[in-house]
Amino acid sequence: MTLLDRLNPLANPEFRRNLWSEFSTHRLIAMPLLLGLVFLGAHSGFGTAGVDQAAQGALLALLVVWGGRQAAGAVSDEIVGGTWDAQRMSAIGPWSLTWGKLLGATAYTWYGGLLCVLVMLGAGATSSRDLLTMVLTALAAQGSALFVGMLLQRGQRPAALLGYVTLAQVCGIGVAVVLAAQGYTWSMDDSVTWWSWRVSGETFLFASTVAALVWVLAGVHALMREELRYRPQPWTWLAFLLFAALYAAGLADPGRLSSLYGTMIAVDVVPLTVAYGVVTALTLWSAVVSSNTSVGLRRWLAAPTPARDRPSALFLEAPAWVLGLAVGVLLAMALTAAWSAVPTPAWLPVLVWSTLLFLVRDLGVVLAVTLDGDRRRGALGAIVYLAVLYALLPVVLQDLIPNVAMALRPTEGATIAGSLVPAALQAVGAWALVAWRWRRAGRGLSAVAAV
Amino acid sequence: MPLDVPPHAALIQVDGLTQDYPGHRALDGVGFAVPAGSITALVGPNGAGKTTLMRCLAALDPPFAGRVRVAGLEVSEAPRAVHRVTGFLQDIFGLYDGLTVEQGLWHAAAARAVPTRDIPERIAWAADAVGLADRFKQKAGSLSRGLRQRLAIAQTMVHRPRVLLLDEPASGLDPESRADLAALFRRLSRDLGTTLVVSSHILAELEDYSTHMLILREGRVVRHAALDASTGTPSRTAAVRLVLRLAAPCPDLATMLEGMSEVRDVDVWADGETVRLSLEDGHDPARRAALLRALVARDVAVCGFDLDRRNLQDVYLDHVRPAATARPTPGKGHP
Repeated sequence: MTLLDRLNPLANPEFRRNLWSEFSTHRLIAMPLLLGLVFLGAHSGFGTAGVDQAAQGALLALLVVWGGRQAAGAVSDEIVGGTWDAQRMSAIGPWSLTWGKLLGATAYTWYGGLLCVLVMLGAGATSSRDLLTMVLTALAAQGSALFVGMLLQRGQRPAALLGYVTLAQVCGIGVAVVLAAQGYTWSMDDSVTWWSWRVSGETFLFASTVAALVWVLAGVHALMREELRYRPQPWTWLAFLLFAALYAAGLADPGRLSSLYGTMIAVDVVPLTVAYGVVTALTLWSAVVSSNTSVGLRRWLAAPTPARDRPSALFLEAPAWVLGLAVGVLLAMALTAAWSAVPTPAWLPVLVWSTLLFLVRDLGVVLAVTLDGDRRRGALGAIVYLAVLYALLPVVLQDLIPNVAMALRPTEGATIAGSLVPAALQAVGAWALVAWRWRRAGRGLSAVAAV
Repeated sequence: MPLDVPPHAALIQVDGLTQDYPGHRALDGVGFAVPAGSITALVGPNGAGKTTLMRCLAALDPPFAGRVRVAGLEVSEAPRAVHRVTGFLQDIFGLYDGLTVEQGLWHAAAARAVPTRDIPERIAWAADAVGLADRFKQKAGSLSRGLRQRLAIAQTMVHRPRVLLLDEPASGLDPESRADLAALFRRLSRDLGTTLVVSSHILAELEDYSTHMLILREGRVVRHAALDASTGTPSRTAAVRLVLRLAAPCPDLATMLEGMSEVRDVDVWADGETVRLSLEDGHDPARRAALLRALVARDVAVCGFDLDRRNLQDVYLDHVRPAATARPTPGKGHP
């Protein structure tokens, strides 16, 4: 491929194919005609301000709602249509496929979006920075829809994919809503303090939106690599865990955390506590959305055996939840060390380590429910069981057993007998269940060394 | 370089391939070698593991155990490189219905990294090869099933892969198109040296062009052999199976034949008028002529004398049918 080809977006076969599919003479004419009618109506009713509002609404509807659907189905539609395996075998690289699908599948909505942007610029009521933030938010929403759509379609039957496309579209819309709501909150404040930096709310929103977009694209790229059968690598996930932990920890408010726990907490451990919470939550989430198959896990575990002789694969091909758990252990150790300098509150280390044991239990519950099962039912089942453990049982049993919540979920004031030991016992029980499922999964398969 | 595989060496080498799905072993220690430039008929009952095997060969699914080398490339280590030298048409394939034939072929060629300047020539070649040259501007969605099948084949081979894996490529094609397809496969093998693995349940069609036969049953290889060019049956040793037809039964014939050193496996039907036997070096017409002369010299009333032509289906059924229900082989003791 020449340099000219590399710079020419039409040289990307996936982007070009999407343009061929998305555009026709009729569609090229229809979009400006319909939008023109909307803007004319808005102008006759509310003047220039009405046109600007209508353009904003149309922009979000086109890019977030419609574009989100297009992005969410960009891969699922290929699977249903029977063309995905051919794409997986193509020579198109993961990055070209990422942007080719993201911008290609949504190209028609961007055509309408561009018309809306031009109208908003003409109306002059929206600043170019706000406009840019809106466009980036829409792109992040579309990217999220594509990412979630790809994540959910793994290991699914084509017939089951339509529901996931809708779910992915809703997730994309959710990302746009969260970013917009956060933008509203930050715009109320003069400034946002992140770690020790004070920046304007607008600037922080813009930076956060760009970061969200970058991570969404990195996530899609990682999934594309996996689909195209590039060698697995854990770096994107580990970097995201690090970023998410740092980002949330930078916004940690010691006063808010103290009021949440009902006691004073040493300021030095607050960011680590928040980072720890973020990592454990993301680890659990990664287990729920993973495709947990006994075959995949057996391949991974066989990495250091002589038959496969690839010990590094034990790290490089580790499931996301295993890596998250490892990061969680490191953070728990760091948090315990930081706490020892100013040991307030006294129960914090017990809470930290019982949280880790609860995480191990939860991972066991998720694996026991999802291993080799129907992914949709498995994931929903796991969520239901976790909801029972975290929300229902503590309420139901609170009158029968004092402090029962402490024995079922991470709770302030944790004690060794009341939290740590029950968490450990539950973890053992959950993993015994996993072992039973594991044996059932291997029944009928004679032993064989994996590659 | 791994791609420099000498002609007639194994272009596909499979050893101990095992592929598991949850609770089910689809392939169990499969091993075979496919020579470069050959056309292998991959056959077996439903659920035998044919599609799983093809997906492993195409480096779409990582094998659970064993080694698979395609054009000298290890599919577990270099799946992307394997993708570049392979074309795979699945039995349930898809097309972009909104694209014209030309656009679909352009996309397939560009996506498989055919240099931009070569794409028009490749499109013309592939379309011509499957008889779609006059339908460039027609949308895929408006093509009949057979024409869609042809377009899918053209898209699979437009980058001229070294290995073509085709799962039921002729389903939906009319008899004329099937004959054209058989000719195309032979041309690809002969002119471009392409190695083909073709899975189909229509054995008569496979017989037209296959050079090798690979039978899978319950995830295992039960037969893999070259097909004899003249009989269409797996070639064994230099011995050739012959069938004699007699004008009248000859009671002493079996004893007489078994007395000849070059003849073995004599099998006389119950009617006494049909005899099957193996002749050493029977490929040599002179050897067969000598046997015929000897029989006539001994007053055996031979009215028919030919190679025992067993088709692919006969061989297939021999291997996939359980012994209890196997089609009886005519011979002594059979009614």
